[in-house]
Amino acid sequence: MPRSIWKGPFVDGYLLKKAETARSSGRNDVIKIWSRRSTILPQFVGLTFGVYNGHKFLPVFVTENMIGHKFGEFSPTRTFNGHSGDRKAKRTEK
Amino acid sequence: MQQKITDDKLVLVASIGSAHGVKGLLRLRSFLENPNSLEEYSPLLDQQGLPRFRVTLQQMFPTYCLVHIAGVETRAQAEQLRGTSLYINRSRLKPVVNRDEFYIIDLVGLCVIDLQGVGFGVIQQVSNYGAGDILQIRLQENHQELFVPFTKHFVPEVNLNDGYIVVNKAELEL
Repeated sequence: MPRSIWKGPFVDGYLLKKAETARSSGRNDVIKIWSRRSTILPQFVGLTFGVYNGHKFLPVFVTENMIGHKFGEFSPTRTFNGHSGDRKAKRTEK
Repeated sequence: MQQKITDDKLVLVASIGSAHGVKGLLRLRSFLENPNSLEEYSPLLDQQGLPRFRVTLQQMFPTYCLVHIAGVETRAQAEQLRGTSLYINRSRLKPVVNRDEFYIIDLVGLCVIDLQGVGFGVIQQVSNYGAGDILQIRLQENHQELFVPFTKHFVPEVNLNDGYIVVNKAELEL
């Protein structure tokens, strides 16, 4: 059963404050967070978070299509080292 | 320290798994974006760079593909190849069209310098967990890992010819 609409998405309070501070400062620092359970909100778009996976802070640059997902989805807790083969990496604008 | 891109660098493209059936077919795990292109790159090289494996695709499955390798006609021959890694030369990869796209094999091993030109690490791996590509950098001073988003803001310059990338270290919380 999905979460009730009246309840709204769950976000840890400190995250909103950190995001607000980062946005007002105008810098693009990586914001370290531990709250993997928090939902990604529209006001986080364009910010880069370092999401803790129990070991390291993995950078997560928030884009529009990530809204509604949880931060933890983008910071896996188990190691997977595959072979790169002919895969490419793309350097994005922001 | 710096590593330049050489065309004779070997790129691991597949590894041979178990034998399939009695006619020498093999299960192959492909590391290519499009496993169908294995045939294009054939003959594939062994670890010494010798062209030994002329591969023909037989059937595709979600996690592996069935192939026939020229000269392998029996199950016993196929079983001997189990665990073999297959390579191609770096020069066989298609040239990249977009100037902000890079083969991961080219990025791994590049020297990492900061905006002042001081080297502080080496790229160890490039990963993507759904939120863009991330460079995993091994720091020189303490051998710890640093994760940097592969964006123009954090990585303003990538120079494959001279073998380095520039990282905006100031805005990363170390």
